Amino acid sequence: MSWIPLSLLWFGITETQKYSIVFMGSFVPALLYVMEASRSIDPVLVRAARNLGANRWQVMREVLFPGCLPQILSGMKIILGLSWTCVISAELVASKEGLGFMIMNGKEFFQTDTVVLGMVLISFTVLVTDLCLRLLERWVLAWQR
Amino acid sequence: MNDTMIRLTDVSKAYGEVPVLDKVNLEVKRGEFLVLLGASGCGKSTLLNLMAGFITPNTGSVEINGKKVTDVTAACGMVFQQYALFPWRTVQENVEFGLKMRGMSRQERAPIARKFIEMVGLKHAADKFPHALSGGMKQRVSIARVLANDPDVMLFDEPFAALDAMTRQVLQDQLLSIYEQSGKTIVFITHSIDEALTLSTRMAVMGSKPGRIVQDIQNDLPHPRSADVQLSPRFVELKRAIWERVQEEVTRSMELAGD
Repeated sequence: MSWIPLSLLWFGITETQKYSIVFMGSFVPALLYVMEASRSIDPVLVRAARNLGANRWQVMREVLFPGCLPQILSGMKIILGLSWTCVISAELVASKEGLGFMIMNGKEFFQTDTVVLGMVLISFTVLVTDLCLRLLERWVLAWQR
Repeated sequence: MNDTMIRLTDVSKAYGEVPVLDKVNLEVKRGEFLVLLGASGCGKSTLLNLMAGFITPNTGSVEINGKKVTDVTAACGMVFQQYALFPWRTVQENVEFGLKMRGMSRQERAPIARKFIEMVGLKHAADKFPHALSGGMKQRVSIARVLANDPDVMLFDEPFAALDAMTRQVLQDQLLSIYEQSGKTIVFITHSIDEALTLSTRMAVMGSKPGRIVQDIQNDLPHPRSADVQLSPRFVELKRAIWERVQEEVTRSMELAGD
């Protein structure tokens, strides 16, 4: 969040500035999630794959990636929420479009209904993206059941 | 034709300051079923990992089928105690893994995998995921997966230790018939003397601190190793000879450890 003023100086009130805030807010947690996920893989699976003739690249694609996928997906749900928070915060501070802008604009003109509509839409978007990810998870991780 | 499949020459291995193996020399002939016996901590697994190329010796050399082992090699297929199946792949896909890594097409590898799944008696479970299988079934998949990859040597690292006695017996019988059908060279680790006597054509007892081979016996018990054989005087005689040696080694290593 503390990057918002600096990013405004660098990029102005633009879409690029919003992207930069989302990047700052989500990159590090995403990296940490993937690191944690790769640590949780049973080393014996890597050894088995190597023993069956997989080279390092194949181990990455066939063992590390599918092995990390459950944690990556659950991490993605959290990070998506986090990114959404970043977008809205950035828009509330300064913007020319978007839900955050709509809420701030409504506030300026005492349009409580617009403000509330913006809030409802924010929650609704989160619900929909979460649902999409859940479906994706169920489809990709069919082997867990 | 080269008759020696595995040759270890003066192999020593230490982890930091702790010597695990000291100048081990071992030759395994093509088609032999060698069982390595020893108490835990005597370097049995280290020996197996050296053969598979997972670790490299500090001194000495390991040769498989005349080639020096310098990196992980698919020439030695390993069956792990923890099964090590890929949970996101079905039984069929697990068995196909090695062939897929070699770039074989789906049409080519499917019948090969099916053949070995049938050999271990899991035809009905080919499309299941590992979590739906029992321990014994998982280990059979793991054996089929190694067989499908057609290695020169099969390495077994206490494969049946986590299974119940009944399942273990069934799998031992199955492994013997696979051994007879495939003629593979096998190195098998266990700490059960009965298991060693039932399976092997040759047994090597290992001593510890540092690990080395203290006794090397040909197992001349007749096949099949039925209940009659397992109750025969020769079986008991061999068992006693090994048991005394193992006991001696265990006592010695406990004294060395000071407890």
